[in-house]
Amino acid sequence: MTKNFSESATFLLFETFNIQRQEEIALSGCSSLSAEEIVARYAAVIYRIAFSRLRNVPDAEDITQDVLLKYIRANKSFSDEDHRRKWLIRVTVNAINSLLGSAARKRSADLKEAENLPAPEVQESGIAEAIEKLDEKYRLPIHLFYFEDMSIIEIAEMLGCAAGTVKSLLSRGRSKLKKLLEEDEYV
Amino acid sequence: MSDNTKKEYNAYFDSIHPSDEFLERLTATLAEEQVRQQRARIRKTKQLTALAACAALAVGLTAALTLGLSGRNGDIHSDKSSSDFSQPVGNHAADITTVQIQTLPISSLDGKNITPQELADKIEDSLDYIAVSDSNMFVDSEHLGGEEILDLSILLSGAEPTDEKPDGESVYYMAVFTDGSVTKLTVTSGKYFRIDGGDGYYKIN
Repeated sequence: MTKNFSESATFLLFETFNIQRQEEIALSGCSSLSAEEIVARYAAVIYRIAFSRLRNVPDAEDITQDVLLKYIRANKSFSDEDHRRKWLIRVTVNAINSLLGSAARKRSADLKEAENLPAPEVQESGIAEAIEKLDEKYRLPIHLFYFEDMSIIEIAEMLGCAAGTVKSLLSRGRSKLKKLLEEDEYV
Repeated sequence: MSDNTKKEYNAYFDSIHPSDEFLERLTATLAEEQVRQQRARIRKTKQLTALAACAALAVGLTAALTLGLSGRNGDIHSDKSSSDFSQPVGNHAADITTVQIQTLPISSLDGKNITPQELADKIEDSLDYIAVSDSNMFVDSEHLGGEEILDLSILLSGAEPTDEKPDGESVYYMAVFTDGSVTKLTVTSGKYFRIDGGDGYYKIN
């Protein structure tokens, strides 16, 4: 009985310490995290979002670096880990939009096409080809909804459009993706 | 999207990750940026500290000048160690608006009125603390510990006047004593020192 009580107390103390530590990390700015920790925690998330939209390794790498540099320079404090993640995703979406809108990107895209650069090293599968064929405007909402588990309202805030627009993009995107996958299976 | 498609989609994106080479480069770039940001923050803090010190000095000087002037003009009873000002303020003398200020007996022991040996004795007898800094404004200063204080007092007591004019790197010390007096020292090239206000340098033996 005493042993059980002691074990429970130790467990409770350990859990309390863990929660406090997690809160400290969440609330602190990036200055408390080393560069390795920042890369380990957030680089893949940012890279995948950028890649889902741009389908291009060098651009996804550029976006990842830009976003993490902005994160360090901002030295922001966040209310919790979710707040931090959403901030990073928002900055990533803005960086993608900014890159897609830039004239330099349009020129370099033309050049890359002309040079016929090798395709990125990604797993070859039906879904990869289907995403590749899917219209650009559907890729980001689908990725944020299915891979990042974000709600329609959150995606609408991120993309700066109405929730109805996101719903419609998701619905049309899903049916197009399904159709592309069926075509792929058929082929 | 069916559950299977969603699973397939998530499995595909789970398999996508930045290359190790890119992650290494990224880590190095971020580490450099962190150092740059830290330096910038330290620089900003130093500038703010220096600014605050200047502001405090300006306020202190203004207060000293104001009190000095009113001391000459007003009816003040004072002795050597303290001053007790009690006089009406403004044109409405009938209003009960008075200022009472106690001044502390702060004086500066400069090189003209204290020798290194006397300073060493005073450090041993009535030291409050010694601040040391690379800056003569004592930005980012640290306090000397017991052994360092003893070393300094030994160096001071064994020093002799010199005509040499050293021009190496300097470290600044400020000794504050329990009677409120303050003495500043400048140690140059680790071999010479000068007591602020004094005429020449001393060589540490």
